[in-house]
Amino acid sequence: MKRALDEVRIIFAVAWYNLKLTYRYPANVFFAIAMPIVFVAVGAIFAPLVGSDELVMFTGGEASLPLYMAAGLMMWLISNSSAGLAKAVEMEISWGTLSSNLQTPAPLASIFAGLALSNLLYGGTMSAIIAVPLLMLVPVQYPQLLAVNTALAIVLFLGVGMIYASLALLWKKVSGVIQVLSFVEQFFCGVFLPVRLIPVGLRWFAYALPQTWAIDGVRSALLGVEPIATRIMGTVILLVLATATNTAGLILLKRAERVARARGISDSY
Amino acid sequence: MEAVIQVSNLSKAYGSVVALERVSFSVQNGEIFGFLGPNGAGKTTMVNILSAQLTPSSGVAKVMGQDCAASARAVKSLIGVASANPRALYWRLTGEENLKRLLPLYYLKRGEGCRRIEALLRQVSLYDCRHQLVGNYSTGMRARLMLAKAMLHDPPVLILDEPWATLDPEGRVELTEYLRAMARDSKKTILVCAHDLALMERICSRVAVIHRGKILFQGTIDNMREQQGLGHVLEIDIVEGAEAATLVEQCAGVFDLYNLDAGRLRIVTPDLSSALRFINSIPCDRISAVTIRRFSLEDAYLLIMRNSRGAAI
Repeated sequence: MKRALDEVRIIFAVAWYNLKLTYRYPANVFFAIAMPIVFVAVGAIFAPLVGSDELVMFTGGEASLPLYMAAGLMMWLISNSSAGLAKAVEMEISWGTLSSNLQTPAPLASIFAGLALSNLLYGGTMSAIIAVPLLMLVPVQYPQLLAVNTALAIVLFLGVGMIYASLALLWKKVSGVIQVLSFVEQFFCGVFLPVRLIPVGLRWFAYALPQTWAIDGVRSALLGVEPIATRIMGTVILLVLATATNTAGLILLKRAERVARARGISDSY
Repeated sequence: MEAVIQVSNLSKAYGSVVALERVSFSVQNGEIFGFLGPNGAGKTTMVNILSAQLTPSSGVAKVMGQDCAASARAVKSLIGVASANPRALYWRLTGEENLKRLLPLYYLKRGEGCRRIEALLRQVSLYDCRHQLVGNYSTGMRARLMLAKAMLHDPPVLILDEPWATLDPEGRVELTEYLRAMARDSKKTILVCAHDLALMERICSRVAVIHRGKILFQGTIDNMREQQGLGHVLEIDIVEGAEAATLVEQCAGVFDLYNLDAGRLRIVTPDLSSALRFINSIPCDRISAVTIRRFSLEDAYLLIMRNSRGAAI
């Protein structure tokens, strides 16, 4: 128990100070403010062009445009945190600060989890100002399920982030490749459009991605019309996948750490 | 008594590049041990292995009986590392924040840790600028913060990589005295890698000289001097245009000599009278300055390096 609490303290300390230094870069502050504004502006400009009703119909006719946008924004933020973690690890390696962290007895997984949390909070703090009022426009039918599914989605994307971070630890300069991978993944897993709009021949690929189940879980809790039993089954599948992704992420991270310790983690040897 | 740091037959290769080859040495409790060598000799690789950030290809490195490869977490609690890289600190955090961030990573309680941070910042004379961003610190201030970081969890073993490199003369003297006091009063074991041989001579009880991954010498500084020949060193600045070759011929077979650069000769003489006799034998119009001094660690180091390269002037 004490050990678990110590690990939580590590995660929060890394996240808090990483968030502090992130907001001390003016460009990051600008991005955090501008990003949700751009998101809403895009919705405001394109929705009348397409026609709100048509867009709702296009997305399956499940709910109103504000809710669809809120779900999209939330999922975009959560899914971005995986690639963000790889970028953060790459930056820590190039600065030399990762080496300072590795001189401490703290587990690498806790340090990386802290970085992932700060990434999530960085985008989330400003965007929540937009997302929360949007969510309040239409009452959510199952708020508890939405909270559980969102938490599981965050955990699942943390596992994906650990996999990406392991790649960054092994190959150092990978964030460019991961950004592309992440974009493809966001497209297929339904961040931008529901999976049912993807050509039938490619849907198997979408459902092979654990991230699709995370997005589906949140979107169906928010917008879906399926019976509650179907939604709970989705939550169970999400729980299994979140556990599996994190287990895979931690195993890969341990392996990557072992290889990196043999090769030299920093470039300064 | 078991050594605090024990390195036995340690080798490390990065692919085909051999960074360390069958290195063995030990450091006793409360000792300040110097690790000397040119750039690329393998010093940083050694530091990374001892700080459990790098695993050796073969051999064993132990800190207080804990294997650096197998018990990395235990070793990391026992040592504090001050890296030579000033970027190993977060420049967008303040000095105090850099240390506070590390408290949970060393499993230190906040209250006790904050008191320790205050004391450390006062010790390294950074307390008044603890709220400044590290990016606005001078390089010397960053080096002192790095030292405070290394001592944050009060480790029994300190590993310092180039601690004097960016300090001003006053700071160098302060740090030297501080390290001596730490080894003497707190019984800290300190391993220092540095190029400043004069300062190393002042604080290290023993040294190891490493070159191309191999230890060429280890022992006390007096051993090192004895091995290379006790005596005096003449430094002769030759007048521009004068032939150095004739001077070299003049002392060939009599004294050991090596050069610093084209315009200066360094000659090792067994005693002061031999040095004076030699000076008298040189025509005054061929030299612009002569210095006589005792054989130093730097002279011994340069001779070891010269011999390892098989170079003669």
